[in-house]
Amino acid sequence: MLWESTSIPHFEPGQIVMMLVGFGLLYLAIVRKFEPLLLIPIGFGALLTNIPLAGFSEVGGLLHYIYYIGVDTGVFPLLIFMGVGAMTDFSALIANPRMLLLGAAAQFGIFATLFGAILLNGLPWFEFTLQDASAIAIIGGADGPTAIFLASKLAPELLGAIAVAAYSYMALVPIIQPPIMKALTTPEERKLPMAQLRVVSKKEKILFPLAVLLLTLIFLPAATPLVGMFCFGNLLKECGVVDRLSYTAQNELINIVTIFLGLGVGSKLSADKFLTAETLGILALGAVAFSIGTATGVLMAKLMNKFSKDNINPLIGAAGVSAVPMAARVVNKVGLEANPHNFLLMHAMGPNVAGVLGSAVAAGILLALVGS
Amino acid sequence: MSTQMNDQLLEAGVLLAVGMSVVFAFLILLIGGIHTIAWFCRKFPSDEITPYATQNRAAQNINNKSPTSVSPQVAAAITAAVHTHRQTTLKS
Repeated sequence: MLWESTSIPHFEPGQIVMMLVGFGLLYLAIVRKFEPLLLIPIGFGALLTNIPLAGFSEVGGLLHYIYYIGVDTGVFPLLIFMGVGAMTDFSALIANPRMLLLGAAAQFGIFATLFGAILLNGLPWFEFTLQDASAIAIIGGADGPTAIFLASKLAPELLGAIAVAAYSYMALVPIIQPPIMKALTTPEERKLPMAQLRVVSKKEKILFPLAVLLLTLIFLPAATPLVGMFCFGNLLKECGVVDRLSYTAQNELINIVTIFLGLGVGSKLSADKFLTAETLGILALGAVAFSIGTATGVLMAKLMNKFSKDNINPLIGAAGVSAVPMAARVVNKVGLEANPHNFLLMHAMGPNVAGVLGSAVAAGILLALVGS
Repeated sequence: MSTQMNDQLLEAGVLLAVGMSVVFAFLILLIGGIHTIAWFCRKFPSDEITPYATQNRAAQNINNKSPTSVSPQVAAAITAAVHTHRQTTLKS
């Protein structure tokens, strides 16, 4: 009787493997410092959800409610997006608006990956619908909240694997991107210095989120949940009259939501949903999407450099795949390796924040065309 | 290749074309929007008077000194900052 009340006779092999996956995520977060803010709650959520008899993810369990209140409804990713908006400075983009083209080009990885997901259906272990393929492809946008938001709407059963893949690749930006950037550029191109950016007035910074919102609500209403919350957060920051709200959005609120979002995603890491061939497919397709996005960003920057009278260092195109600010830091690092006096960080922040907008717009398009 | 997969690939092709066109069109519109905002801000510049600028002007009015002169408090603060900076850089 006492023996029966312990977990030991109830453990299934799948649960043990998933707990090891949870420990693996905790290891990556704590020891290797890979996206610890998200991977620690996700990893711990994976441990909790796989405990036999505890029922964390069954009706009545804590993780069940966290998931259905915040992740299934799409509320948590949107609140995170508001916080990200409140932390984002668009000065570099407003000073050099052409950088939006790099943010647009890098989204090619998302749409190209749709083909990969469908071609995988040729193998007997895969059966991705177009909705599944779209939710997987958005990993190429390198934006965690966007990926979770779209997955919760289009393919909730794949959400755990998609979220883990999205955050893993964002953490692996410094490893994945530099070889692609170097392969597509010459040493001379990498050395190119760029002109200093102009100073942006406060009025421009206040009007910018309002202009983005106006364009989105007119032309792409499906993207307004993501873009709208992002613009709201940014307006809180830039208007300068609600510092308390801005501070809350970029500190306490985003921290609280991050804890719950991570635990909610972790609750989806159960053996029956994660230990499948589909998860391997998602991990592979995520890497493809991310690599293609990086490559098209760099190629677009090369093209712009050919036709521009001012120098455009092609490396900054790689920052078009969102992943703020990691991708911009990687660009700066690779640029400094080629030319120790060439600081590209501010120039790369333009395409970097453009990538956030680009991936939100791409998510809106996929939601409008593939959803429902 | 099955007919279903062919249909899906065709749909993905349409999504690629429509998706990339809309992303580019939207962000090009936004470039236009940013240029319009910049033009508007140049045309109607606001009097952005920061608290620092106001204090500086007030100080100038009171002291009635030349614009390049620095008040003793500011000079003392700069000296202290330079001193601290030098100490920390020497340590490191």
